[in-house]
Amino acid sequence: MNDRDLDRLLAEARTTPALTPSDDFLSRVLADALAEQPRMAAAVPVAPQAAPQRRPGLWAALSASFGGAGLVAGLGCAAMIGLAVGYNNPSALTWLTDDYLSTASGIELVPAADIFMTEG
Amino acid sequence: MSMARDIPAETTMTDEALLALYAAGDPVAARTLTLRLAPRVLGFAARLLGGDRAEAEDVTQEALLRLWRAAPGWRAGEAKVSTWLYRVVSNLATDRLRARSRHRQGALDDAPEVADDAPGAVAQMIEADRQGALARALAALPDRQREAVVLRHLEGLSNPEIGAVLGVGVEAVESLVARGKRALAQALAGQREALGYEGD
Repeated sequence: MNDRDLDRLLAEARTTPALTPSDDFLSRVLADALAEQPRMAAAVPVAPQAAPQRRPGLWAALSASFGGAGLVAGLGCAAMIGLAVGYNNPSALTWLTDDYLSTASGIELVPAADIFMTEG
Repeated sequence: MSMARDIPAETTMTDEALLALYAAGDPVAARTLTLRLAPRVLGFAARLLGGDRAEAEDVTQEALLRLWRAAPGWRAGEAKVSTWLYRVVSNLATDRLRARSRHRQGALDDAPEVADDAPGAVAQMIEADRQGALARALAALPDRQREAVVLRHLEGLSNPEIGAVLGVGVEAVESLVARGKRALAQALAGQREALGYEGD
C-alpha cells in the first residue's frame, strides 16, 4: 500500500465515528459524575446582624431613672411654669387669688377658743 | 435553592470553564461535560483498542471517573482537559492491550459483520474490511507509534498537542508518526487489492 492509499484510508477512518455511545453508557458516566461531584455549598441564610450595642446617653439615663421621657417632659414643663409665675407675679389671676385669700384670712376654725383661755 | 443554570450542550464554554462549574457543584455542568466528553473519549479509546466496545466503554468510564475526582484540585491554565484525557486514555488502553496480549493472541481479527443482503453490501463490506484491516494494523503497532498516528490522523491533533499528550517534543512526535505510517503501509501492503484499492 502506498502513502496515497494509506492517507485515504486514514481520512476515511477519521470521518467514520469509531463508536456511538449508547444511552445506557451515557447514563452510567453521568451517574459517576454526579456521585463524585462536590456538593454545592448550601445556601446558608444570613442572620440579621445585631445592631452594635451603644452606651445610653445622659438624657436617656435620666429619663429612664425618672420613669420615661413623658414624665420628665411633664416635670420640666411644670417647673418652667412655676419659675415663670414666681418671677413675673402675674396679676391676671388676682381675681381668683384675692377672693380666696381674703376669705381664707377671715376664717376662724375655733371662734370661741379664747373664751376658754381667759382667766377669771 | 438550586443554582443550576441552563447550559446548552453546544455551549461555547471551554472544557476548563465547565470543569470549574462542575467542581463548584453545578449539576448542569456535569451533564454538559458528560455529553461533550464521553463520545470523544469513547471514540479515541475504541480506536486504540481495535474497536472493542466493551473495553472502550470501560476505559472511557474510568478516565472520566478520574477526571471527576481531579476536578476539585484542577488548576486553571495548567493543563487542557482534552490533553489530560488523551493521556489518561492512552495509558489505560496500553495497559489493556498488554494484558490482552498476555492472555490471548490474535484476538483482534474479528472484523465487523455486515449483512450481505443489504443494499450496497459489497461497498459496505469493502469499507468494513478497510476499517477492520486498519484497526488490526494499528493494534499491531508499538504503543507510542499507535498513539501518535491515532492522535495525528484520526483525532486531528497538532504535533505540539500530541507532544503534550505523550510527554515528548515535536520532533519525537514527527518521528513516531512517520515510523507508524511506514509500519501501517507495510502491514497493509499485501491487502491493497482485497481492500478495493486496485485500479484507483
